[in-house]
Amino acid sequence: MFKRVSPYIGEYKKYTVWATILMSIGIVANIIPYFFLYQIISPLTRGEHIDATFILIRVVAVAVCEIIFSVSYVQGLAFSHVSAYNTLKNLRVSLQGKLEKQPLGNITELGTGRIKKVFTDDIDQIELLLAHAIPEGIANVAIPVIIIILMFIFDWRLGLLSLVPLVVGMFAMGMMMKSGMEKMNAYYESAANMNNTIIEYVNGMEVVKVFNKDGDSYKRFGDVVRSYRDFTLDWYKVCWPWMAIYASILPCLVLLMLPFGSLMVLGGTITLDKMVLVFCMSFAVGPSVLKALNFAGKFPSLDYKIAELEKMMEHPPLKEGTSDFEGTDLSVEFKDVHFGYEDTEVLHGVSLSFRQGTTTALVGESGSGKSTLAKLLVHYYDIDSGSITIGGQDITDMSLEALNDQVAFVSQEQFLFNTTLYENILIGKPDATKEEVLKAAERAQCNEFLNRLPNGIETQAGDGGKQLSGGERQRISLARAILKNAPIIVLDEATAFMDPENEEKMNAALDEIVKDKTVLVIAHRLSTIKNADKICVMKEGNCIAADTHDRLIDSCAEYRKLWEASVSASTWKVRE
Amino acid sequence: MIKILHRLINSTGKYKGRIRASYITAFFKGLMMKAPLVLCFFCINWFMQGQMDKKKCIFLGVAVLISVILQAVFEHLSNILQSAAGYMVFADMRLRLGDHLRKLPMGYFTEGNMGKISSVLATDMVFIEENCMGVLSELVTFLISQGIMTVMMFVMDIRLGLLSLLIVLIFVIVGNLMLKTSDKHSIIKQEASESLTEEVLDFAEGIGIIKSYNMLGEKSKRLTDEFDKSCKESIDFELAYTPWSRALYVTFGIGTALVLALCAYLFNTGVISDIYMVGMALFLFDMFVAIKSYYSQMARLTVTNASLDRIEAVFDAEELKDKGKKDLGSIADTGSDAVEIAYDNVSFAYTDKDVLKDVSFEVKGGSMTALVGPSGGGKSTIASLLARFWDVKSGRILVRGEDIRNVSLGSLMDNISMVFQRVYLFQDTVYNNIAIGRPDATREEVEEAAKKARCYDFIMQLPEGFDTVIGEGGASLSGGEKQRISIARCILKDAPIVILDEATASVDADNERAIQEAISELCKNKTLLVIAHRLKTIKDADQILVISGGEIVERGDHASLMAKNGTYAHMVSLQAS
Repeated sequence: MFKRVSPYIGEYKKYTVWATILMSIGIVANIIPYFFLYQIISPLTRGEHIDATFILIRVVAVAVCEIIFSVSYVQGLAFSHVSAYNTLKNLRVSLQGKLEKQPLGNITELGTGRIKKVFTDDIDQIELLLAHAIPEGIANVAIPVIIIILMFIFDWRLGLLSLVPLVVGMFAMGMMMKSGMEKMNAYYESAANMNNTIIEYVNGMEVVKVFNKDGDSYKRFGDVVRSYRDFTLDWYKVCWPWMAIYASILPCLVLLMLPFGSLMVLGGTITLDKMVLVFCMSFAVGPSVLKALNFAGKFPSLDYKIAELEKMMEHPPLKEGTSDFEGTDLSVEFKDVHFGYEDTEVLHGVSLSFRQGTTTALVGESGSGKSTLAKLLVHYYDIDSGSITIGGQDITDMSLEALNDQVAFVSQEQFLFNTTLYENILIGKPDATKEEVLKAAERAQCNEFLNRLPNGIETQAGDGGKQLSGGERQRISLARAILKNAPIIVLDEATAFMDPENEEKMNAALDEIVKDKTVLVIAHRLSTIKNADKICVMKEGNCIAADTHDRLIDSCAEYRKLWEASVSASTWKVRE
Repeated sequence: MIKILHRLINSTGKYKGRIRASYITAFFKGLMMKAPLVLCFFCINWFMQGQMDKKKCIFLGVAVLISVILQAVFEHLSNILQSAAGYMVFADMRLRLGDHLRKLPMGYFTEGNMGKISSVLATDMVFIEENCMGVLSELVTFLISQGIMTVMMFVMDIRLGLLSLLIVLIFVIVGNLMLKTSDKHSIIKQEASESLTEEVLDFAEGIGIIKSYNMLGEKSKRLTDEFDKSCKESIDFELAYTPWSRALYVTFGIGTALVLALCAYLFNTGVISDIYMVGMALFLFDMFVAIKSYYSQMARLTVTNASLDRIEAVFDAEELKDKGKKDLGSIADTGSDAVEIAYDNVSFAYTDKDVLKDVSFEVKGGSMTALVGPSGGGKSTIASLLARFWDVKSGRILVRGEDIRNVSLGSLMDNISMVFQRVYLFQDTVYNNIAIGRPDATREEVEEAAKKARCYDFIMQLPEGFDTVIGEGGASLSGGEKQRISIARCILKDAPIVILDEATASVDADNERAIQEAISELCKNKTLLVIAHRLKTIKDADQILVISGGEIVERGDHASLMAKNGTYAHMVSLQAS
């Protein structure tokens, strides 16, 4: 049952074992006082006198037992939490490791929201199971079982009678699960439905208000809220009677023992004394039994939850070599590259090569595969077949570090770490001097806004750079790329119009980045790449032509179409 | 700490009565739970007195069975009264929240606020609904039971009563200290969990940079360290709480032992009989169980305060006043040369930061006005005030001579279409997503709008054409395609005023061209207010307003502004280069 958990518990297993032992000791210590009670009651039933010392010893013994219980049970819980939280940590670290090895493209597709949920909410949920269900569950099951066995040893008839309420209670519990199952699915469905509708209601609020349809939308919101309530109550209404039955009957072990035990005492087949002892024992186990049952349903979900988490991170890791960059030069060659996301192939054998120091542009309609092709050069994904080489060396042959030293991907990514702007730029080259960093900032056209900020380049970027505008964040990332100074640049040209008010500054910064480099541009606006050494026209996952602008405009209809669209887009006016 | 309880009960509104009724059923349920013990006491008593016979055995059997049945009945009633009420309370609360949300100004729905709303609706409410409502009456019953138990002790003997009272007082002290610790540490724990979330997000969002700048080793270690820290802090939280919960248990144990000792003394001095002594012994461990359970349960509820705070914060956001009764449609169309929109000394501030200062301008019917200027200068704010995303702080905005605050929100919205960069499509069919523009439109009209918005071709290529469901679990569309569908909506709506954010997000030339054509269709014969980023696109506007620092610094048409050789002319020269 704990197969999936155990690798993560690791060295903390002993804490869980100790937790279980301590809790069991605690529960035993909690039960023993009932025997002392029996010892006090027993002489009283025979009308015997009990002297002060006899009672005093029992009083002290009860106090000692209770203290043992308090100390060991609470300590057990503390231990189980030590183990549980460390297990969660190990689980997090292990998932982190798996995540890091995945291709960057896969991580991006997974999405930050999903990743956050896995590492925080989902893993936190397991805490309750690990810290409570395992040790408390085991202790609360083990002790009642022992007590009931003891009852059988004292008198098998009474033992048997004590089992009847247990069996009836468990039957009621089974009935609840069985009859609730169907309703439960409806409940979960309506809960999911409600959550989706709520999200849509909140996110779409702007739209529904603008179209003056908030009445309709609110009505739908109301409907799902009400139907969630009704489905929940429906489910509970089926469960409640059974719940009431088992919660009442299960702890009442004396249900049959009381009348039949009394008859047995009357008949002389058992002494009153013994019956009182069994009564005391049965009162002692009642609460444990209920507790154990509450935990019982939770064991299977533990394995299930961990399996789910593992499955999510179970993509094959990126094929990464260990070599340094050993290419003869910086020429790049894509040879018969096939690539697909999941089942749909998006690149069908693309071949393309370009020499060191040249600029190559990828053009094509949306969805033609040009962005995907460019991302493959920075090893965002592993390709399905074919090869990508730099200076003759396959990129899967070199380590990711070595590749990253040669190739920089300049994208619309504007992410800044929550430290100073200076340090954010420094990432590009950790051993750079202050002058180099300032120079890079200047070349990326950052000075204009750095001068405006009270702390200049020492300003904290804020959470993800929220203190700066999108365009300003973008320019800080460009400064980072300039400082890195990798010889091959993969450039998403759309970066330039992330900040239309400052497009000229963006262009100036990009010019600085690509100066004297080997460049691969994903081009959206064709006017900017007209002078490229080579333009590769992509269509439906194939490279249909690769040549200069002047030749393509004559020879390639697809390119002509794109060019015309681009020209008319750039001369567009809101109203002629 | 009764405060949380009080706050929770108050949050139940009109169901308070049901919750209160459940105290009674829960109390009787508690009483019935003890019935088997009482019957055992009778049984032993009868044997000791030598009064036991078969008839009494049968009575005991029937009585214990009845007690179990009654317990089940009362439990069932409690569930119906309180648990059911809990779900009803929250259904009502969600409905109230939904109604509240739609009355909030549109400007409220920023990304940050939407996150808050979602977590209130999806997390906080669910937590209280599932974890608190079911135990509410139980908690109250614990307090009542403990009171009754203590009174009974006083009835038996004043010394026993005083001793129990003393022990209960110790419980109250220890319990409150425990709750205080738990309250304090739950804040620390909350902060730790926020810091963990932040690190995870930082890592997940920055993974592209982290990997491509060869920082994996360093950042990965940082995240691992954060996991370690979170682990240690969680353990610290548990350990800080441990001494108090141990103290609570020890109080229980020693208190119980003391009561036993006092009983034994009273028995030996002949104050209580042997029968009573047996009874006391049987009930010994129930003496303080109620108060112990009360505090153990309460500790779990300390987080509720934070949840209730978050829920209240959303409810506290101020609603947009929609008292205007006037209908813009009833105001006769003033003709194309009359003033359609007028800003009259409009000032606006988000919280205390002034964003707009004394902005005044007029827009004639059917004309085009462009707002240009540096980002952050206030041009988007000016446009969003027209649609009452917020209300002006001073001054007024008139549409056809009527203050927009005197016009019903519905009527105002009927007259305005907006095209922004942020596009939201519903998880519904393409058809319904367009038809929301005008629900009484015929199928032909919807298709016509789609054609005008350059959507028709790609819609027809979807697996089920217009009836294809889009969004999660449905067909996915590119950014440019979504944008065009949202424009089709506006074309179908055919409102006389169009607010347009000209920037098209980074899309490919083919897509961009299509979006532009769609926008041009939408703008035909409309009164236009354009938030312009690229000056070329609005060169032919009838009026260009240069907005900077929340003020209009220049106004005029392209030619006159160029002749002025001021800010606008400078901007044009920059963008042309």
